[in-house]
Amino acid sequence: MSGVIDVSARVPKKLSLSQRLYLPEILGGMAVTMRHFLKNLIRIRNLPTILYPERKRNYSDRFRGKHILKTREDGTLKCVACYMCAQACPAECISIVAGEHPKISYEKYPVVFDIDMLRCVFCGFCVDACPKDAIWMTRDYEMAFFNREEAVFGIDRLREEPGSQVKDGYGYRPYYPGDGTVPPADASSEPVPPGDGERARMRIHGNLPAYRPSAPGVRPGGAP
Amino acid sequence: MSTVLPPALSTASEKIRARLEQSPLAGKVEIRDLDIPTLEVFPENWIDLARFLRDDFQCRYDLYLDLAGVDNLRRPGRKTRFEAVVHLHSLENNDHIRVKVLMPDAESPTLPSAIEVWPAANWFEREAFDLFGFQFTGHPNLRRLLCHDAFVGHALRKDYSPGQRWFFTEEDLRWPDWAKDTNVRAGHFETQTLSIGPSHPATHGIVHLIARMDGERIARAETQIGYMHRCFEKMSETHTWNQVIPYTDRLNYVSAMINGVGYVRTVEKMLGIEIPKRGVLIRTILSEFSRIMDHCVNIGANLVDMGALTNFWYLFQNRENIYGLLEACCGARLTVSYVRIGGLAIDVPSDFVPRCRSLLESIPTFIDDVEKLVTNNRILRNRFEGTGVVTREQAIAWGLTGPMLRASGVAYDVRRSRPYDLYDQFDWDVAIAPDGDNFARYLVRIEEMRQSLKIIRQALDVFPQSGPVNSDDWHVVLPPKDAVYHDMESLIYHFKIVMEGIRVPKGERYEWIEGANGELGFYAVAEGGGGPYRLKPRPPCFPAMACFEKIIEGGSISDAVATLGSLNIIAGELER
Amino acid sequence: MFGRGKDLPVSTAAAGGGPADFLTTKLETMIGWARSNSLWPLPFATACCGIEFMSVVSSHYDLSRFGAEVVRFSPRQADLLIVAGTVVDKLAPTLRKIYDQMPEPKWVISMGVCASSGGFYRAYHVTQGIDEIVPVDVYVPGCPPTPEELMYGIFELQRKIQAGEKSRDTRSARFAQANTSAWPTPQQEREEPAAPAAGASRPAGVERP
Repeated sequence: MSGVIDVSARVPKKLSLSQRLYLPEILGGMAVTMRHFLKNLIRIRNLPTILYPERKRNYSDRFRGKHILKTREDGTLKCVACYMCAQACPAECISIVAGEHPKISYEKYPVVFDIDMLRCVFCGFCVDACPKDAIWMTRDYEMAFFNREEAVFGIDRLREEPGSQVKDGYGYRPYYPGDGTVPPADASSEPVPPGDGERARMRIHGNLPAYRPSAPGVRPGGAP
Repeated sequence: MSTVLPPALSTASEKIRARLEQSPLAGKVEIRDLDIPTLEVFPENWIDLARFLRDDFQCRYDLYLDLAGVDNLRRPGRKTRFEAVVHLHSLENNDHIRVKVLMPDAESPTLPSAIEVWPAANWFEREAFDLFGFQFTGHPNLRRLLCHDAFVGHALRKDYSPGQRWFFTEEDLRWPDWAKDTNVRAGHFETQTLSIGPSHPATHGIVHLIARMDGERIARAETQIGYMHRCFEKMSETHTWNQVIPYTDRLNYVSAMINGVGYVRTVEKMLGIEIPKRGVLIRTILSEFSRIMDHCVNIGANLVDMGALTNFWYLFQNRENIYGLLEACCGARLTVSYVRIGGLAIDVPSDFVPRCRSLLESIPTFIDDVEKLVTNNRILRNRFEGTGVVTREQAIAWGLTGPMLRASGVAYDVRRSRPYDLYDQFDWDVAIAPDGDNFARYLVRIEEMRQSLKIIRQALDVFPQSGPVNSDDWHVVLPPKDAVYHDMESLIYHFKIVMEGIRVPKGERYEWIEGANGELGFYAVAEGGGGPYRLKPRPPCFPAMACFEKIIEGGSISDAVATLGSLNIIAGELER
Repeated sequence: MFGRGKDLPVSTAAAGGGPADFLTTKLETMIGWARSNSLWPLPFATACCGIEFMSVVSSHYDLSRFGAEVVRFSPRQADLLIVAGTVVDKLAPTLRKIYDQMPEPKWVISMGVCASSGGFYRAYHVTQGIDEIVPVDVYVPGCPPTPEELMYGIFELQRKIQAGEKSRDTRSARFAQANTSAWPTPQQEREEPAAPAAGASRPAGVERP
């Protein structure tokens, strides 16, 4: 049949004399291992061993490590507690409690945002699901716990401190520099629309607006 | 029941219908033309139909692939609550067929065991008994296989709560009855029953082998599994279609990408969407790298059991290098979760092709080193040759596929017999060996690694420099992020896909690809909702583990260890 | 010495009874140093984390640089039990038996989220964390943890050993006690089913099939 190889035809059943004598083959095998040994000894800089923790392997820009909650320019979390990451997570490790933010263009914020690191499978679905560019993953993987309670990371351990360097750099995120994607506009830099008492009036009457435009020019459509 | 005539008939189902009408089974079997010809039969006619399908000269369905139980409790409009869905393959005619045995008795579903027709049915039926409660009359050893012996209830029934656990202690573990007595042969030699595993360095993953030892020789053996049953199928029923993808990674975890590709292909076929060429080629290239990784682990671990430790480290170098590539593409080394329904999670980085090409340079050096150490080494040849022999007839009867079947001389490779993902456009060879012993399996795997490198080289030559990797159907694929950030319509698509899951049309489908171990198929049933109604992976190493106890009988324990290593048992896939 | 976690109470001369304990605490420090740098792991490798453990002992990461080269598959010869991978209810008695067969001093690392908490398998056959069965010293998250992450976990364990904690972590044992109250003890009736595995709250309004 074409396209089929009988691999046993290449290896003769009967071993040759030198193969049956054990030692020539063993010496040949030792030549292979000695070659590796001497190569490692002479050029010790090219050892495959990564001497962690003095040196760390340079993982890529897409590494899925510890999560990080992104912040806006004014220091508030970008997260609007929409629960999409909690819903997308196959391990159900994200717990969110939403609260109302006094600023209308932010509308909601997470009062509690917990990720149980001992349930998280580091799949990155939360990053894919977030519509507000609020959760990324970093290249930080150095986590070990002595008990299960300290493995639940809250906002204090997850949030990104604005201005400070992220440990080990960013990892898996929705867009990468140079790929042409435009990040969302930062809502903190937008003017607050007039009529702030509108919200209070609507709350009194029992109806809140279903959709508020976050950028001028976008027409309010149907509710999601 | 009369035979139903659908409007368009495929040649396979026409042929079967024609042959059935001339047999005593005329009128008792219903044939429908779904993705593959589907026959429906009641339990009283099942064995006759089984014999007919195996023996009839036009049918010759000799390879028993899979048995999936389905509970139709939440599926309105079905004839019976329980169905046993059997998939078969004909090596001669190269086609698949599905047979559904409908069991009218919903309290205690009963059907005869097909073990005399296809010995491969043994463990599949035990699993269906364990997870659904199907009573297979005539089965010699109908005990629980995957769940522990103190388990109450049948886990995959729709009325069984997913989190309901049962307490299991050591006293509950049941040994087979034959293990309890110690024969005394003439000459006053007693046999001993040895329990090898489940925690044992030579049992990869966890396998519990109970062996009656007559000195060094194994007089009788039985394997107990279930020590890694992680309830993949139940988890797939409680998650959405995309959320199943991380679970599929953990099936055959040494070649995680291939399982993902197999699963999303099934769903994409049900949805009827096509992936752009660049996405298909990325999946193919990374699947072939995963196949190389799988064979590296298998050969390495097998040789470690023989005491040849150096090869393990050389082959793990290959794995580490491929890990670097996978990690650059998707962010994780082992459990990649890189595929999505409709394409991939993200596009590959810009240095993908140079990275692959440098891997193509470095991988063969390590494979050559291993071959120099192993292939002509008298010690290893003596240990591998002639041990763990599986003849061609045995391999087919036991439902083996993949390198195990090819090492017994049958040239069945899904990439060749039913090409998918552009495999027919590449020039590569299927490796077979006629002997069926451990050495043949080793040679076949080494050659498959080289063939995989050949395929990757050709795929890189036709790789498009740019282009989309995902289908553009936003009902299925998450829209691009900047559209989601700025455009209301994309946000709505994004929201619906994340919150509710993809809407897959009602129906069922079995799609199969060549995993590193053999035919990896996924039988998916969609019944609306955001996730699968039933998802059954066809694990390629399951029949291999089932026949292990028969292969090693009469051999010595050291041969058993060598054979177990060459079967490539991955516990995640074996026990899902 | 490489761990960067929280500070642990170290047995110092001041913490002891003064100069009379100087020799004893120096001895304990030496013993702690010796123990932590010569761990003999028993890789109880069940699943994917087992493959990453194999990477740790392979040439790229090489755990033997920290004294843990000798992987012993017999519990009688090992002192560090690394549970790498999911533990299911069928395997749980075996794990307990292996742990009991290990001589003191012994430590347990739970590698990966499946061993630590069941991971994303909130299912009918999966033990939701091995601390239902054995007391755990260090939990290493990740699915699977990268080899460096496991090494970081081993460094944390080394810090703990050097701080003088001989075997089981009392906090971990208390947690295990507190969290298995829903799990029936052997004295209770066998027919009473256990409570389903608890999960984080999901927002309502989404149907699953």
